[in-house]
Amino acid sequence: MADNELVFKNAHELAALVQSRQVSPVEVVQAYLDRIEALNPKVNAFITVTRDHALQAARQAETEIRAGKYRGPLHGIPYAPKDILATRGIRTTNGSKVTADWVPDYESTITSRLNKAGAILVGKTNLLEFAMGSGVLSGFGPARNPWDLAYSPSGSSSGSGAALAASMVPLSVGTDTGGSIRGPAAFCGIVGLKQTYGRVSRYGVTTLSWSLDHAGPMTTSVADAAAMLKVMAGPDPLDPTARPEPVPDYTKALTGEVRGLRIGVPTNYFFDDAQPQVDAAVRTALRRLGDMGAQLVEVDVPHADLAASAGWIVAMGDAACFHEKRLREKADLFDPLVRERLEAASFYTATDYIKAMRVRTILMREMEDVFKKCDVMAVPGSGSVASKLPSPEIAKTDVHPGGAPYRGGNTFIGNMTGLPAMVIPCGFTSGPPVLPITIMFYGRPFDEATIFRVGHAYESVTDWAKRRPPVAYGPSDHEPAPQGPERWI
Amino acid sequence: MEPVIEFPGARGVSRRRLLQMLAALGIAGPAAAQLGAQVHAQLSVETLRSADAIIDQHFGADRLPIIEKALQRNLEQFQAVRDLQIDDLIEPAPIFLAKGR
Repeated sequence: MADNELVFKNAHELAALVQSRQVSPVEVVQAYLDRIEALNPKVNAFITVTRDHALQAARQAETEIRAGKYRGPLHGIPYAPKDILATRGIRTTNGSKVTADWVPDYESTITSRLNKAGAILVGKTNLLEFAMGSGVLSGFGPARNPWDLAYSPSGSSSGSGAALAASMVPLSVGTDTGGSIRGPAAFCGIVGLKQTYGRVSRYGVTTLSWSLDHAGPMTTSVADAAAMLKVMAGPDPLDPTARPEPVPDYTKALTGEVRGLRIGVPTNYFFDDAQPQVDAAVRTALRRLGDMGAQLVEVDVPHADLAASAGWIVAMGDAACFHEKRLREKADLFDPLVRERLEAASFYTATDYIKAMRVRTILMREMEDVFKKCDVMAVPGSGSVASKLPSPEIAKTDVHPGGAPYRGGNTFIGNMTGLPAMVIPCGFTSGPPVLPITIMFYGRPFDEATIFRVGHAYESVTDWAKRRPPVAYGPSDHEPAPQGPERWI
Repeated sequence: MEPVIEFPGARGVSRRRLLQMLAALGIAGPAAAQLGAQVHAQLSVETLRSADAIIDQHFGADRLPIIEKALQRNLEQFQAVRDLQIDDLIEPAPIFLAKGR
């Protein structure tokens, strides 16, 4: 099979070929390594490529599968985690010059589980520095959006989003503290899941915020996200916040059926900032689900507009504490935007932090009320589509006199409440450039199965997820650069 | 009870009433929110220098103006959280898990 046929397949399609021995894991890995080599100079999705390691692991997988020792749907399938997950013996930079040469002597629980499942690490993806930087001025430069290389893939899991959209890898792991899986999924048109807080261990994931951080799957199909979560999820003695709730076989939820499912559509906040094409595409997707038998119900989250502000207090307060020593000793090595944010957060008060945590309780109760009326809540994955990468002058600071006020977005409420949320493609703008539009489904705690069910059902009757970008695009002059960096963490 | 904002030379005006007044003047949305936030105290480098002594960070003189602007922006964004009146019965979300034997 030609390499370009392999790299455009989803992970579960590759798994079927690998399991049936129609292709070898070595062929699959080689195809992706070649594609990474060809595209990374343009897309900058990878910080580290583990070529020798990957080929060795692929040969081992090939031997095992030939001997009948098939480990499961991830066996022999390439993956690339965000370079904020510790990988023993393989440098883990956090996207920063501060830790550019760090080689961990321990493995994150997530990568350990994926490796044991037979998935093959091909490299570490680029990110906004420490999951909160500018990208443009982060340690290894910005990843670029494959839909238009002058555009941002969002962040902070920028490299993961870009790599998946450009078919440089079929599976990735991102992290999400305020939207950093779902933002890149939205801007790059791929699938991104922030699962329930506590569903997946955070051991070995460099901290931004202890209570807001989630590490979750990023893929090109809902089925692949389900397969990854099954492997990643579960209790971990190394992470006391990883919960003991049983891990179901999420693939059983992929029935294609949504008859009787109640989809909540908020009447406040979540659609207020949606660009017209985004609003239209999301509502069209909802009508499609309604035609398939789902019931659309109106819901309301009265304090949704406070999620991002309160979440920022918690996130930056935690981050300033986490980086306190590094900031004292290596301030000049930080992305200037990270440094600015951490230094400002050093002055946040304890009462601000505690009040933000009380807002958290309010939001959790309001979302409990939402889920008395519906099974999932649907909102735009992002109210805006991808925008141009900012200049360094813009990227270095959050302060832009006369610039647009901070927009909270639809993602932070998921981190503040711990609820699972998944972004999937639901359309494209008319362009130019043509850019992805996505829908996001929120669910009840530990009910990722229902989110997978509705996402897969929609995906199976549309072809948005099958479209791939022409990464040959060069710098674009379609619109002026935005005022201010995105606030993705 | 709604949060009250003190206007110089005026009776106390609730933030909601302020936003209504601004809307009547044709000022709405994020611009109104920013104006509402600016009613509150502005930071200065001197303020931060004093606060630095409390938090024991010892930021350099070159950093304080940068931090001042960033923190001012943050505080304007947080104002809605600070203004929110919360019932006494609402506790902070717990972030620890007590472990039994």
